Amino acid sequence: MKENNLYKTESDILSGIKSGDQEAFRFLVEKFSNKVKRTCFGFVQSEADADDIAQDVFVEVFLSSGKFRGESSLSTWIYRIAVNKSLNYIRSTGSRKLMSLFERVADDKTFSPEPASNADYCPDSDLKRSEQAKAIKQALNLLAPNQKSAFILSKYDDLSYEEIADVMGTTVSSVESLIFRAKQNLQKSLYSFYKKNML
Amino acid sequence: MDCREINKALFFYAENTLQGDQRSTIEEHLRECADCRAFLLFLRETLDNIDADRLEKSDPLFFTRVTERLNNKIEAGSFLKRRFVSYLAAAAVFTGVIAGGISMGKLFSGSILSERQALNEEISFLDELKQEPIESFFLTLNEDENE
Repeated sequence: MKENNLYKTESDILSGIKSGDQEAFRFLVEKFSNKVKRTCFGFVQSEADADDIAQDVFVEVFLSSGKFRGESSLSTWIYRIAVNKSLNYIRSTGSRKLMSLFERVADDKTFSPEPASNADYCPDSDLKRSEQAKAIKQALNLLAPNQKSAFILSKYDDLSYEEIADVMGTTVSSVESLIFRAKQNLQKSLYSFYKKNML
Repeated sequence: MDCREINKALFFYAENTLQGDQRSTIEEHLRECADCRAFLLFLRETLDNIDADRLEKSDPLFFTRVTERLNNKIEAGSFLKRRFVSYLAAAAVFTGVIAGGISMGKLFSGSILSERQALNEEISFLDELKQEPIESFFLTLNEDENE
């Protein structure tokens, strides 16, 4: 990323964006894109979907830049948007999958898993990694939204408890509690997955 | 501690967040139990995958995709605004036509009423004539004169 001396502070970046400076927006996107994608990936466990949501996050940042009041830091605000967009995406995907299920039942299509193909073959290490990825995805999907958000911001984004509390609009002790419960629940889910698939 | 109790704490052990007695108890159990060791390995590898997913990847075209999406959204917003204005204009014209129709309706219904009123008055006048026909009027007049 090319450092641009014009945008030394967050207010410089925001002023630039508000005045329609494309370079300011590019600077912001390049600065935060990996963080935002990582956050979104933590929620949806799919690179393509994470990229899609991340694009929406930056579009929202641009369109709402006039409304940002500076009560929190710019990164906190961006993380907040990323978390909300990701949770909304999960909710809407869940509804779409449910609708698709209803449609399939209504059409009397045989509801069975797709047959395996050669594309599914992969060497042992890839298979193991794929199983582990599936395990964590399923385990994360079972978490309550608050626990999921706190865990992802901690584990995927490496934010401190104070930063997570800022993003989620809660206290540090709540964050500690949420992360502790998230880990306990992940433990249970991963153990169930392990017993079912790996033994 | 049995395997069930150990399993509850293995996630925290795998993350190296356990300390003191709890840590040493688990380590003692792991020395004896192959099943728990296997599950611990699975946990560590799964958590390592998360760390691998955190690696920064370069995507030089990401900004291009973002600006394209932004431009599409702005254009869609302008299109929706134009459509909204046209719907508003159509609604205003429709309302004007209805209001005009109602006004004209009131205007015409007023003149019909006055005609009807005049007709009613004429009818009541003719009815009065029936009540006292001309002949009886004259007969009454003659009687008064003779008296």
